Amino acid sequence: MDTGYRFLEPEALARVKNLSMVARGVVEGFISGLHASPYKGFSVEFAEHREYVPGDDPRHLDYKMLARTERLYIKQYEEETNMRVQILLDTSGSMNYRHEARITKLEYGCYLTAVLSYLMIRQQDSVGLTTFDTELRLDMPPRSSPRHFNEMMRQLEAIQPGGETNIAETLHRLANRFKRRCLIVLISDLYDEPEEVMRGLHHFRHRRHEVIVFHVFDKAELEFSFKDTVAFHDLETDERIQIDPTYVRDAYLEQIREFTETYRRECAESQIDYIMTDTSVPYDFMLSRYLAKRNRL
Amino acid sequence: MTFLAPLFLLATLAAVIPVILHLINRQRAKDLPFPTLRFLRIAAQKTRRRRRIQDMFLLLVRMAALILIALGLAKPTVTKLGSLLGAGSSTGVMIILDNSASMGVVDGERVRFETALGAARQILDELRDGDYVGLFLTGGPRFPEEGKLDRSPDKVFQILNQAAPSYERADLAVRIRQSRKALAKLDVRNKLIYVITDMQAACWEGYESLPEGTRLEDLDEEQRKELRIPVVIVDCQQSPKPNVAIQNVTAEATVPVAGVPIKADVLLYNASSAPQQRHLELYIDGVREVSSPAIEIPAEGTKEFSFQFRFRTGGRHRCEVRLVGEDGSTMDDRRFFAMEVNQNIPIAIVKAQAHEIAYLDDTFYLERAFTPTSGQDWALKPRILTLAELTSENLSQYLAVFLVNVPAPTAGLVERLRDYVQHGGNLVWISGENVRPAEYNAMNEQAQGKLLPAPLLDVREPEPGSGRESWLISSLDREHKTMKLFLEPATLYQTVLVYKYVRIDERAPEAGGVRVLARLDDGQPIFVERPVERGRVYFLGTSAHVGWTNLPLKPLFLPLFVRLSFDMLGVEQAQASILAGHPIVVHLDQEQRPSIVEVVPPSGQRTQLPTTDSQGSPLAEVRFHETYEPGIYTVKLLGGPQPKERWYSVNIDPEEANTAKIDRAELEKRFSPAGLVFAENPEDLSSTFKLLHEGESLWETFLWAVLIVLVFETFVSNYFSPKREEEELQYLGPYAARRGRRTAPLAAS
Repeated sequence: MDTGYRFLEPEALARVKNLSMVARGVVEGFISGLHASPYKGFSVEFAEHREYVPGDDPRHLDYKMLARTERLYIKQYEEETNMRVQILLDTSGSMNYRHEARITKLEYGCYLTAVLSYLMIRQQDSVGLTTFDTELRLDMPPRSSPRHFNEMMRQLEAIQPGGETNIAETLHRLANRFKRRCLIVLISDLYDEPEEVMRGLHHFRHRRHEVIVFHVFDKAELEFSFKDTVAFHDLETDERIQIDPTYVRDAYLEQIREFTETYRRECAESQIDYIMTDTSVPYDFMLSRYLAKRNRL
Repeated sequence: MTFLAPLFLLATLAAVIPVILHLINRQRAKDLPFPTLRFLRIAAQKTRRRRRIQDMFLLLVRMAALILIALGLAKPTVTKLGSLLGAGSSTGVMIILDNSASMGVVDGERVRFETALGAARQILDELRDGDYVGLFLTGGPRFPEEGKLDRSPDKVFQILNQAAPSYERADLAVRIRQSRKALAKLDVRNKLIYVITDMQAACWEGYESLPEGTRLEDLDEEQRKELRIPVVIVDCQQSPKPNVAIQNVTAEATVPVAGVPIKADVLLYNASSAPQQRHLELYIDGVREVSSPAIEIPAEGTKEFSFQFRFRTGGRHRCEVRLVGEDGSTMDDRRFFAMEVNQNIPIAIVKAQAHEIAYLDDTFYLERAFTPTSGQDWALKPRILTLAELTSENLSQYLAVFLVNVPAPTAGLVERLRDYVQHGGNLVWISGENVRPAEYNAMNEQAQGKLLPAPLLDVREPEPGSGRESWLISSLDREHKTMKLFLEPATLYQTVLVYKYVRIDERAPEAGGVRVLARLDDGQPIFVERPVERGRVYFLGTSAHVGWTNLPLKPLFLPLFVRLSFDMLGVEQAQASILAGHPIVVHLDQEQRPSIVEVVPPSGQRTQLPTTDSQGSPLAEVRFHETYEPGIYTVKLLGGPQPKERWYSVNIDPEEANTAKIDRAELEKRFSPAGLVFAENPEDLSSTFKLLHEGESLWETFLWAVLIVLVFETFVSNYFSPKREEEELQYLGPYAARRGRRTAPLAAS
């Protein structure tokens, strides 16, 4: 069954249909009862029940439901169910790379964005999309309406790969933009100075946003199994270098390992979820596994 | 090293193929996009240096393999000779053919010299048109064309057809030097010396090595030119037949008189590795005189055997010792020697007059001493004469004249006695009552002092009341060849009593050269001698009868006079012995010069040698060189005041029996730094010729080198390449193996 959206595949949807993206920690609107909603007292209507999780304010326990079902439920109000997710999609030139995979990293990111967005909308959270390379190219604030979702899908389909990468500056700019706490999902190959990128991510964390990083590669970047002498040209700068891959492979892989380890380590220290993947791994499979694990924690 | 197919060296240019391929590969690199070059740049920088070294190393290895293949195809050869006999250029070859006596040994199936001739003919057959060739023999008659280099091998073939083993020892050093000098003058590119020999160590004695460490560059141009000529040794000694040789014969005749026993010592040498048994035969003047029993000679050892024999007649005799039995060589089975003996020793015993009663003769005891027991042959032949009979006697026929108690001879006899002594006669005066010192001195003066050893003083006898009744002989001349035989026991002469004697003035000026043979206990000489020109004069101060002494009754009397007579002989016992090939040297008496020296070798072909040089100046000596055949050579000195004849025995060099080979390493050391090659098979020199023309092939060596290089390249190339196993572990994707387990990437905790 065709979803009508290029980047929203039925198989992917089927895989994630029973999954949800739950914000962890402090998210504005999350009815943990730990923080008062700024919307308290204004059009706060009962929206639905949700299961009680430790930390929720016991004042919002629905004892009727408890009596009826013998299970603890929390009354959710309109505002408190609105998790805000902002997806930051790197559309720099390096994301437009594909060696032998079916799709480019950018397309992979788009698929990932689409399914994540769908998930958010389905669970009636807000989702926004920002694309960037050296500049912000698209900036859609988080919304939860179906029309917004349509627009997002349309924008995704229209995305063109850009020029060089400047993740760090983009992150800093965006971190200042989001006043309300959000869940920031960064989809990128992170080909920028790790220190600068992490500084940008720390900026989000400093502002108490939750951050998830999907570090996307093409398998060729991780294996570097080229055989013959090759003249590689940079997708962003168009620079060229001619090398015999067999002789630089070890050194190159060591560089990549160090690169990813740096991000892994820094993200772990900053309580940022770091997921490294490559385009040979089905995005839905990767996402479902991640969400399942995330939800178990 | 040289190359037989040098055109293939062009194939070394193939070594640039890897370089070209490398360059082509660089230009043909595929263009691929990549997300970012930042890591590639760093990785390339890190590996650039190592990669360059590895690339260069592999490039060089591959180039080396191609170069080695090209070199191998060019047929590399190496030789110790310094240069090969290249095709298309002339060659000068000198063949030195060892024809010493040892080459006459049967080796294998045939005589060694036949093998050598075969080898020489092979060398001649190998020559090409335009090549020069010469031949040296090491012994035997010299051929006029020997040692001369000629384009035509005909003359060499002629020599080979006539050559035969000689009885001489080879001196290869001389021939090699002569060959080098001859070839050095030749204007050809290739020069070679072949030495065909049995490698006998004795032949190489004259070849000495240069000081250790000498290089060709250290020598002068001429020496370098000569030493650059390589030498090929063709060893003809393989498996010699067992051989025994007569190395030496020495004959000793204490009394060289017919009928007197003579001893000949024969030294045998067994060159084989097993004991041998042989017989010896002694021939005198061609007639077999004595045969020996079987003689066992130890392996590689010597054995001496002594013959005892007599000459039946006086005169010169040709003697030959022969070894009986078949062995490796017949050339060393004979040895010659010559001896001259007297038929007997004629002596004259002269008395003043004959008595009717023999016992009363002064010569009674002396006659009996010189006369043998009847029926037996005796060397001494005494003739008893009176003084009167002596005047008409031919004195020259006598070896010695004993004048026993005679009065001083008349003037005529004195003159005759003087002549006799001057011409080699021996005069022995024995005292008695008739000897008056004054008369004798006058006689001696008449004979210019040539008849007495010393002036006589007076007759002496013990003075009454002196307590002395006689004198004793207290000492004998220890150095005199006759007197020294009677020194032991001392009682032999110390029991001789002298009652009366004539004193001799040994210190008189006229007694110059006198020798005291015996002295009395009062210090007075009792028996003296003096050489006078070619003869000798003796004086016994006491008598030969019992009137003045008891000497005739003593055991000393007979042997003393007999021995004295024998020792007077002075005849050459054994004629001069010379080795074959060595010259007979005849020293010429300047006073009695012969005008011609005639030499008669065993073959009988006479050769006359002049005794003056081309300017007419008299020569001090003449030399006869053609002593090629063993045997007795007669040398006649003719045309002088007194013709003479001398005999020389010429024999094979005894060292030729010892066929011990010189060590090859020793020979190489001696020849260093000149090139030396050993031909392995004298019957077939084709492999040697091939080596000379092509050198020792290195093709197989190069092929092995190529294989090793290629295998090495494989290993090195594999070593430099990243390993497959490591490639799998390098995958860093989400499902990268961590410690062997595939896990999904973990979310940050």
